[in-house]
Amino acid sequence: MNNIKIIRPFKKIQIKLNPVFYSRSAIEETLEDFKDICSGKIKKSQSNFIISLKAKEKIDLEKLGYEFLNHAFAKKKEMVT
Amino acid sequence: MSLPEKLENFKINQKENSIIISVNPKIYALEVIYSAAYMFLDKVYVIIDGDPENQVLIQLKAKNEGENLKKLAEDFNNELINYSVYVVQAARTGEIREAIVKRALGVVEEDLWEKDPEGIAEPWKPEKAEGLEEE
Repeated sequence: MNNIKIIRPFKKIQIKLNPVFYSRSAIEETLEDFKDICSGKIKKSQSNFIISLKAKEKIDLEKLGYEFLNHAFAKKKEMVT
Repeated sequence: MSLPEKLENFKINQKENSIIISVNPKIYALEVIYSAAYMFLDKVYVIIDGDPENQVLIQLKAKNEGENLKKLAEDFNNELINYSVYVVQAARTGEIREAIVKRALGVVEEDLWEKDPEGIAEPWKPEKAEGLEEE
């Protein structure tokens, strides 16, 4: 499972998420919550959501990516249960 | 105690400080898996992937170095059972809970209200009161 790709020179992160387990609305809400720290886009490939994040300030990119994942997961969980 | 290979449903990756747990969705509903994983959000980063029909994979990546990964996986398995029991019990006691809440909130069944067997809906009139002396 390698869902996070970090492109350090461009302060960018790419996250791949399975749409069966994560919904677009949960990801969009997470993007909204993270708007002060990073900007982002969601694309839908054949089998995954591809989320591109660009940090607005100097920040630990790996931590940003994983915190984004946890936040999106929590949003989705709240929708399911 | 070591588990037979078939029962051990997790793989530890010390280098990445993470574990991947495999869960059979025919045994544990997706709702249960989400709830169990949610319990660990303060300690780990959670990623869910896999096939919802056959095998759900949950990656837990510890936030801190030195986390006991094996214990984490075992605790996760316990949480799966914990939430499964909760879901079953909630379904079993659903009607009772609903009745208790209805009573607590004073919700009256529609037909009983219309029949008004105790005459509660009738406005009280002093002339109908018994045992009261006139001033």
